[in-house]
Amino acid sequence: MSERVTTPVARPGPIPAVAGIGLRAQHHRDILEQRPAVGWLEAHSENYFALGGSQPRILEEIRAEYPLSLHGVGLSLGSVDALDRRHLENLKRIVERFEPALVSEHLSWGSVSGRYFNDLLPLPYTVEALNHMVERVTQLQEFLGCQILIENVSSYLEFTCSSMSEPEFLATLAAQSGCGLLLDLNNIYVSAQNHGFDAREYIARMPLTAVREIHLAGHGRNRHGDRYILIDTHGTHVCSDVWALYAIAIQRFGDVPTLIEWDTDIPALPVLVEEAHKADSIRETLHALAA
Amino acid sequence: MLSLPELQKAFSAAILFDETGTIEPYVVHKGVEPAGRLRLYRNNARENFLAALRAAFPVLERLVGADYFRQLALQYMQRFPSPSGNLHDVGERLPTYLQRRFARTEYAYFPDVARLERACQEVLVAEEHPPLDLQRLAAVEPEECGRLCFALHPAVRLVASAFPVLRIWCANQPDGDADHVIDLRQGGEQVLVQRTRETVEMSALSATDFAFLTAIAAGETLTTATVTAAGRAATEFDVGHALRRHVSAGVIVDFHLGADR
Repeated sequence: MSERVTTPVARPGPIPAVAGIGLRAQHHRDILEQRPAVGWLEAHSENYFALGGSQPRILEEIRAEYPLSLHGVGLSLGSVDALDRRHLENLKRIVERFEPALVSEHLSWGSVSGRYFNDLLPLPYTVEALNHMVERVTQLQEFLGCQILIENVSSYLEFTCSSMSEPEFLATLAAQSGCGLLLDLNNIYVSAQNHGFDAREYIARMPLTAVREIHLAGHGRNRHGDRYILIDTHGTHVCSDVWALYAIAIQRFGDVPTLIEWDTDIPALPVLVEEAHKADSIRETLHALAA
Repeated sequence: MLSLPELQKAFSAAILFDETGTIEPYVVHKGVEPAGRLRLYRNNARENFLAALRAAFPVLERLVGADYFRQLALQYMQRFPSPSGNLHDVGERLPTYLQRRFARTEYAYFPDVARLERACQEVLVAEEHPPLDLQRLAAVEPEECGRLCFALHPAVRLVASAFPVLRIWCANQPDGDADHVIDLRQGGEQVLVQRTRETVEMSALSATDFAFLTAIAAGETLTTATVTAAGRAATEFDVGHALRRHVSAGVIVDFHLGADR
């Protein structure tokens, strides 16, 4: 069993500051047979909520080989609904069982009165929403007995009532709750394109020490009259603009665990591994230039 | 200005019921109509719901066709939105919904097919349990055997239908014979759904076996379960034989002694 701590601190058993890949069920067998050379794996928490059967058994086997991060998509932290007790307990059970080095969730909401949308919906960036998130993140960290990372999501709309920017909201959330930040550079890029802000400036405004993980993924686009809205599909290669943001982020935050995420139209395992190696080589090139 | 609870309520009305009127004035325009932006979220929620349902009910989808399944799924979603942040739970109430909708129609077997598919989904994630401890059972005094209350493995479900539901399921597998004609009036089937190490297995049970296991699952004593099963048996019900079969198949995995009646 994991060691219980009373104050939120990072769990021991570090994720190396290199590239890892998202663990998806169709790659379970290939990962165990091929043991690809990636630094770590990240699993969606909800996919391993099963009490028994093959999924947790396979994760057990994979866990013996790779550092693991658990990434939640369904807790709906930003909803004003009370947190789902069953979901919390399932999460705690798998955190204790698999001892992930990182546990993360999203800056989003997804339910009203117990009706869930199974999506990552955007919050208004108001003081009210900030206080709400600080309270929820604190509650979650106390319940799990560890620090959690909060990830920025892609958004397709902004609210007129927002009184601060997303980086300001995230930085304050991290400062007030003690959570770490998971910076999804593709999500920053998608939102920047959709709302017309500068992604580089966003990165520059992120607190230096709070960023513990970076996500990289691909996106699609959807036509609206003469405009396009970028959609966070996680269904293709990381685009060149996002790779450029990655270089900027590494220069700012130093080496940070980096994850290649691919959730729709999932390709064969070697494609993900190659994408992870690309991230590693970008970091190595930057180090060589700096030396 | 909307408070956070008001904003979330108004947003959810746009997603679930396409009622965008309340939330629209609070969405920034910037070149794309707020209604168009909201539609993206509505479509995402629908597609996520639909994809989870399709993955869990492939036989039902094959029976009704992809277009009608989609229509059915979206109507179900309005009536029974997802009950949790775990997509596994999306189909929890589909059998109930279909029962209300199709019970008195020529498609009355749809809800039973859905129950069978939901049972498969449930056993896949159910708890592990070791086999029955035979030494412990052997230590029970003969005169106490009637009070034995057995327990089924957590990864076992029993599904009974007035239709040949297992035959329908088999014929509608990806490698099944879709042209195979099944006479719905040929009689019902009772199905045992059980997780094995790698997969889910289904087998047809006799009416006797089904009555016996159902009584056990309900917490009845061996005496009551035996009487219930014997009432369904065409010939004499051999309880010893039945117990041995269900224990060796890993269906019965535990017991305790119930109260005297």
